[in-house]
Amino acid sequence: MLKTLSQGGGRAGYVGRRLAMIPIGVLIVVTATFFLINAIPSDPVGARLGDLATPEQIAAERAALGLDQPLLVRFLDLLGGIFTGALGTSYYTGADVSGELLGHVTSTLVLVVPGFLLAAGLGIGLGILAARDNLSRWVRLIVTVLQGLPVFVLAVAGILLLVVLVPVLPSPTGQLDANIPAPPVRTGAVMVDAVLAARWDAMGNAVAHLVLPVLSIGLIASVPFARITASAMRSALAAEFSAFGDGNGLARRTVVRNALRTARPGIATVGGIVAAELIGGSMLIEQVFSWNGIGQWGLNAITQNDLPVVQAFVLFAAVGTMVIYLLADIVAVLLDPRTAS
Amino acid sequence: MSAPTTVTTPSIIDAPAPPPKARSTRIFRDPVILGCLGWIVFLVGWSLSGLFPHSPTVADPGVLLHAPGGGYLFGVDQDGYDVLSRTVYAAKFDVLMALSGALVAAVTGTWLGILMSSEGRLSALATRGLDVFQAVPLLVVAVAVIGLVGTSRTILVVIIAAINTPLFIRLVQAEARLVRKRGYVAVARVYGVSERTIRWRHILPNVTGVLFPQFSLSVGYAIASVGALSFLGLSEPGSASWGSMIKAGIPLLPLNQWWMVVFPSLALFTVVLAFSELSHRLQGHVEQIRGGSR
Repeated sequence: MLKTLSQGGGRAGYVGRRLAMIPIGVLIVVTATFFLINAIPSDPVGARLGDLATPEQIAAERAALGLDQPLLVRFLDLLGGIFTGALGTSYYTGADVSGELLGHVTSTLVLVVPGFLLAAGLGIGLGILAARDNLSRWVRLIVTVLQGLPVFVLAVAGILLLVVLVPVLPSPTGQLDANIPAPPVRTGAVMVDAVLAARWDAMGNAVAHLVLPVLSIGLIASVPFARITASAMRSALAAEFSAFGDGNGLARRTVVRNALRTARPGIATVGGIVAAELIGGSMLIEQVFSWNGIGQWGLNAITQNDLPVVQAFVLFAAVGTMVIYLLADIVAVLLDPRTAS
Repeated sequence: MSAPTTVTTPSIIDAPAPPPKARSTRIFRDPVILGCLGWIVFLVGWSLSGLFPHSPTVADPGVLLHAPGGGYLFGVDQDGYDVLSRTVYAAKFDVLMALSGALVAAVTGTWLGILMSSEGRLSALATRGLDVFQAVPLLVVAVAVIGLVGTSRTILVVIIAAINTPLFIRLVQAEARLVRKRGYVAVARVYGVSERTIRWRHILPNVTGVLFPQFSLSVGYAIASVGALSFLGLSEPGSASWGSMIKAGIPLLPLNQWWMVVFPSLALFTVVLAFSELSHRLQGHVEQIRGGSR
């Protein structure tokens, strides 16, 4: 009893230390992002004005965008802005960047969160099945095929199958059919907006639009889950405690469930890696389905040299990755204190 | 397979290596390895040969969107390019970009991995730095950099190398640490051989075995990355790549014009699969060799 208590204190201490690192990490990420974006030779003014602009026009435009300020002043502006939640205004739309960021995040989350949950469920299930001798070949085949499949190729195959050959799903562009009036925008994600406005027709259609992207993400992202679960299950079932369980006449179910417990810290770590990769990976899926989430928003900004938006996009991805890894580490430690060392 | 491998007497001074001949024949008799290699060599060779049924670079506006058949086995795309010729032609760009990126990563990673295999504060610091680097969302950063600077082959190779180098570093570092514990390294040290010589003459030759599976895996991964970047519209403008062909074809999918997307997708999928399966098989052989030599 005493031991568990002291261990609990150790865990809390670990979690506290890790959480205390967040501000330092954010500061590093912000600095790196700012200097990366601004050190890259890009020409936002030229991209806006075209080749015919006079030097006076260019100078005026630079002043209007704040590009004539010294780098350090602009950096301090950004740092101050982060505290107040202001990330500047877009060069193109003139809209507030943090507002636009929030407007696109929900659309991406609507894809990524169900995709991640599907991946975890599917992958862990496959991993457990792989521990059975008669099924391991099939699981390995599925995992091998999915592993070689780029996510956008799988999405294309899905469109071909479920939209073109067997037309059960709507045309794979956007979050809603063009002929259905969109619900009033509140979060940016049509499905959530439809629920908030109690527009059930639009919600049904929005859900149908979600099926293929979520399925593509879920299938591809299930591979790492399947691999880690299978390998942990294999070693746990070969371990003495499993033989002991079998020998004591425990049901196979129980032995498998006990073995699965040992796989949890590994699954948590892999879950962090998968979730972090989905931030960048959702760009690909959004591109296939013309889904106006954060990836499309960032990609458009990049082709337009819209630096404040690019900066916010990279910042979001980097901070998001950092927080996800951190949470995964904390969960892994809570599941198995030995990982903390 | 089950033939007893020649067990070399474990010698202290020399690296315990199996006879090289046995190793190579066993690998080249594996039908899966031959199939994967054959498909890759066939596709890239055809691409390099320049012998296509139609020109992959000169469009023929007379046959836009011609369905597969009638002299155009894989059909014609919306610009008038023959899809078969262009799919094969694109192998050159996609596979060679990936190969060069993975090669740069393998060389850099091996070098750094061996350097970082030594005990000490510096290599501990470098390992910590690697942790931080691997926490960077590289696809997002790559897209931002390429999008702002404009794309070129050099940048693509650098990005592919940056994504893959940490994998090689970790692999070689772990392997080199094992090698350092072997008797012949201790003996060499006793004889006063310099750290430099130990690194490149004693450790390097003994970590190369694990490089091949990782290299193959990295090339497959890199082909998928090149595909992803060009799918996002960031490949070199004008050059044919599978990703950009798929991107261009997607809007036509709902119109039942599937051939512009299906054939480059198949090419991308089979080549990535070939490299990853090759890696898996090589891994098996490497483990077998190491097991036999221990």
